[in-house]
Amino acid sequence: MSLRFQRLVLILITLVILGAAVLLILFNTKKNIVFFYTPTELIGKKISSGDRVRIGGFVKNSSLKQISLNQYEFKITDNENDLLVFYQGILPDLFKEGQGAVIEGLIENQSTINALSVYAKHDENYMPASIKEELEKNNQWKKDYK
Amino acid sequence: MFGFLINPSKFNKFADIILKPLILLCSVILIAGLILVYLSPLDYQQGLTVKIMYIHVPSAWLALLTYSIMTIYSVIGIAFKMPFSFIVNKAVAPIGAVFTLICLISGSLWGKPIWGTWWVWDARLTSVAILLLIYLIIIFLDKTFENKEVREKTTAIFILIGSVNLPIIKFSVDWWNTLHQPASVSKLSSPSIDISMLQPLLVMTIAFSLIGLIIAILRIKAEILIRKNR
Amino acid sequence: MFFIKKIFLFFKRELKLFFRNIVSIFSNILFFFLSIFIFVFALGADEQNLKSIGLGIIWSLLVLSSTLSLRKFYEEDFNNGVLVIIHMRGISYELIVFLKILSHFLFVQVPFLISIPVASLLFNLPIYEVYNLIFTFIIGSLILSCLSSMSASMNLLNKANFSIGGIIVLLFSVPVIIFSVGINEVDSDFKSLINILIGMALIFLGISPWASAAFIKLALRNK
Repeated sequence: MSLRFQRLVLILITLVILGAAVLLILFNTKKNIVFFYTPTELIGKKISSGDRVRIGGFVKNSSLKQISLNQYEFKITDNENDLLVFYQGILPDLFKEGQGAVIEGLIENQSTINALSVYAKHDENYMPASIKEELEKNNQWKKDYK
Repeated sequence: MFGFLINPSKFNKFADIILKPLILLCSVILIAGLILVYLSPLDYQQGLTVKIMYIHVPSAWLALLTYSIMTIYSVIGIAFKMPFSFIVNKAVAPIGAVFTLICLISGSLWGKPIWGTWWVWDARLTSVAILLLIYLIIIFLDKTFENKEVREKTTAIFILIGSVNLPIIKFSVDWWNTLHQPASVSKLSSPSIDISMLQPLLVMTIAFSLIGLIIAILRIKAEILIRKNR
Repeated sequence: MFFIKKIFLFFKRELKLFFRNIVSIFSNILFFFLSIFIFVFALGADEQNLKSIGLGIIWSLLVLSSTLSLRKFYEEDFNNGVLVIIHMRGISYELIVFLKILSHFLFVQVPFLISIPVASLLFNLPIYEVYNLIFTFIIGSLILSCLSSMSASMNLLNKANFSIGGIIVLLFSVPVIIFSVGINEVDSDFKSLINILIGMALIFLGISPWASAAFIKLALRNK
């Protein structure tokens, strides 16, 4: 086999290999390596108490309760399922009801989690505070959970 | 017409004409941008903290832009054997590294009050940290080899291999659930950032790119001089 | 036919070299085990603790040990001119690199497979994790061979800065580690993760012959 022919064959093989690789990766775009799970995803998994997980979702409206100083209890929801979270520590500034959050903690049972740390997640919307007030005044302010 | 982009002597001539007006323009835009940032409204959720965005986002964009420019010049340099592209690679790499560093530091300062942590290992943050490492390796590679041709070509091929990271950075927020929020400005539907905040952001981006451009021109001119005198 | 004979001769020579260098390969494995000991003593021999982090430690040490033999990849053949001789016989540099990667995989990475069950025993890993580890290591070590080939050929003329070769392997092994260790997460989808790993191996297998051959030609021109 001449060098030129070898190189031609190698180029073809490389293209086939790269194509196969791209196909393999594209057909497996299911979220594998995730920073957090949603409550619904968590229910579908086999988990045992004591496992360390990260849960992401929205803080359910009127579920945030302060048990004592620096002790909180709230629900994380993705509009389908809820999880009850206990947390001891300081909450980030942005942490509010209706706001996105990521909880890292240990599972206590199917629907309760002891949070070790709480991160507030903020969305990609930026808006001046004055405009938001105006929208609220006109009852056009709508916060969707998605 | 675009000969100055690949020819050192034409670049030198072009740079001499454009440099002074560029510096003037840059300082005007930078001052205007800073004033606009000062006047820009507070965010409805984040309040004053949102102003970190006007440094964080432009530096992140420019870190990616710098790497893309280096990738294009590496392709040109390897395919058409143009020495000017290696000059550009060498001159521009530290600029990109500094922009990445600014992006990481400002992001960290932003993350502490908003998310409640300096650093998390989510896909976006990790891939940008890897970008910084790649920039550093590029700078080190340039100092490693004695032979000029080996040094330039090795760096260029490494830049090409490392460019795999660019799409990962861009799409990491869409492919995986991350703590970092998805893109606000560069998405297909209309940008989800209010016009009064978008304006200062864009002005600051232009100012940042002009700063980067001026430093790049100066570094490229210096590099051309060094090579001439050798 | 003649061509296949050439490839056969190539592997025969690699096998001979393997038996001559067998001590250095086993030293790498020894390094691997000693680092495990150091990790265990540094972290304290708490069985539960070790069980949960054992897999990550084993994987990172495997990557680290594979950077040890990095300089051997091409340097000998490069310095005594064997690379040029093989090329003269009518095998293109790209194919030489490909064959080299295969032989590195067979003669350097596969011997590490023996050490994995013993290492997992030291950490009391559950049996399914051991299976996963062996399975991912077979794919992951192929990727590591490709990476070593790229970084070794890159540093053929590097006489000053030895650690940069190792740094490059470590940098690109980050995604390998993420996906291979991710398989043992609480509930990951085994099949799709394996597919992604195979996809990455194919990508590196496709890129590295061209990149390494370019580096080798560059080095030969400026030797």
